[in-house]
Amino acid sequence: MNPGRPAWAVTAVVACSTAATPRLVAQVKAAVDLGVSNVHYDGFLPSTAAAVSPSFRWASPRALVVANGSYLRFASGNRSLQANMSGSFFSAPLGRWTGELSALAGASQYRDFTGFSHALLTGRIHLDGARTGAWIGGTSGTTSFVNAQRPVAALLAGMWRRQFTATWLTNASYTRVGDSAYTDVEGATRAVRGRFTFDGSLGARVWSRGGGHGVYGEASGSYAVGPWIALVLAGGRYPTDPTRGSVAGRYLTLSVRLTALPGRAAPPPLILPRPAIHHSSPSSDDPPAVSAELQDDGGFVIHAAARTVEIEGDFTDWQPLLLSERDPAGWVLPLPLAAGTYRFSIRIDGGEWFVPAGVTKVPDEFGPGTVGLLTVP
Amino acid sequence: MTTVHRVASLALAATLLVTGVARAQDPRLLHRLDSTTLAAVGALLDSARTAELPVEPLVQRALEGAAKHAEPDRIVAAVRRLAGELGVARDALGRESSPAELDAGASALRAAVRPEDLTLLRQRRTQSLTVALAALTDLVVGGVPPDSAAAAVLALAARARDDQIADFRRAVERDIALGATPAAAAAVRVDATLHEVTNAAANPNTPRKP
Repeated sequence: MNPGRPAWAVTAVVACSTAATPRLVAQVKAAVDLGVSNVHYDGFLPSTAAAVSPSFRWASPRALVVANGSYLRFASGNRSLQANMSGSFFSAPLGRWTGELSALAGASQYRDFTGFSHALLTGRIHLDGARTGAWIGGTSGTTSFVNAQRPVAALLAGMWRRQFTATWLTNASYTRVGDSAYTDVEGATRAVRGRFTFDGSLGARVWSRGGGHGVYGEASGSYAVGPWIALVLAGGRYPTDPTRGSVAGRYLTLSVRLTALPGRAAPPPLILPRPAIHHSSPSSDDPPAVSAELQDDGGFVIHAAARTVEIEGDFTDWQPLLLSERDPAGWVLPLPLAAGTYRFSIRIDGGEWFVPAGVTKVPDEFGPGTVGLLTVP
Repeated sequence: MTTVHRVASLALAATLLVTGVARAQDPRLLHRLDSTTLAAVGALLDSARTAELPVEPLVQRALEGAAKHAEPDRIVAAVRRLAGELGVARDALGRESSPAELDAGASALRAAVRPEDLTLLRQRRTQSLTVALAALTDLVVGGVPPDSAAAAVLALAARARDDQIADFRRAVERDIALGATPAAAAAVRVDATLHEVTNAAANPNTPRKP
């Protein structure tokens, strides 16, 4: 979407199909975006560009691996190539606390002569609740421009909140890259409604020494035409990133995203080990903002921005079952449901079990909370 | 009788006993419940089969309790209570009721709907009752008094389709979420739905949702 930025900068789409390897007890998703962008880098003339951007994501409750790339072909014939890969490991929850250690490496090249690469290690501590959470952490690493290496260090803090079908995020960071230093403050949101997904962010570089100043913001909307294809319109302005070597600019992109569906490979339902302690949903009047939807075609979808979504209920013999990720915030039950009434609960990212919005909640006979009641006609 | 014969007889009796118990039990329960709970739940399943009640909801309730590490007594009590509710639902809805209807009926009874209202619903609606019963349960759980909820669903039962009943339930929930009192929301929305049902019947060519 953002052609000047690494990784998630995706423009046009063709789906590649990295099918899920059944042996991976996790969610695997692969996609390719193909699109056309209008790009205006600061200090350059506007240009159109075509892009191919593959991406890959593997997620389990304790680990997350993301790889993505972007190939841009400008109207001038010049090209830009970017690739990033990151891996995160999450510790076992200690109450509401979770630790995260992640490593990120990437490289970019413009034409045949300008090349950046970077390797970063980040540690974060998360304090997560059902609806809100916060984290604090730090990053250390190195970035190189051609053969000149510069150290990278950053302090990060942020918080998130789920409300209705949207997730809101605010974060602040202080980053030093060699002699440059800057402080960014940013807010972001993701909202899902039916086939539409909206992502938006607004930020400001409030202080800088050699990293530029200004306000920036990006927005993208996608419409899922089918289970494996979506149209994406994205645009906005982004700041200079000295770590990854991207220059500030503006862009507008129209693309098509093709997503490989693990379900097509027909892997068996994935059963995760049960944790030692089961928490039923707290009987709060303020439920987490994750919603469930029984669709006209009989599909059961959980709308949640999450790394993993598990469900257990009368249709899984009360064993946790990992849902299949249909789109960035849509998780599908990989089983057909016969007509009937079913009790169930879900959990997000290995957290506590609860009942999503959109279904009836009835008292849990085995605990203080509630269970969901789903009726399939 | 020789010692060998006595041992053989005991072994045969034990084998018959074990196979009898195993036949009564669902294999999914074998490794999820302790032996005492398994025996008690197995007896309840046997009783349900004898009474021609659906057994799967009972198995699932026991599995749910096991998954939540509930006390054995609590699991057995939950299964016994559900078996009783399924029996009452069957008596109210009739022996021809489907397992899905009985399960939905048991949920409605649990929510404090009266058995007589289930019987009235069966009398007034020729289609499957699963969605209507679920809507009734949802309304009561959502705060609509049971008698008001039953009156509303019974008013729709004869002519409304399942999707219209489901839309009615959603509309009531939305009104409640926006601040309406549950009883008032049900009363207003049932009138609107009846109007829609009547108009749809009078104008069959009016476009509808697919």
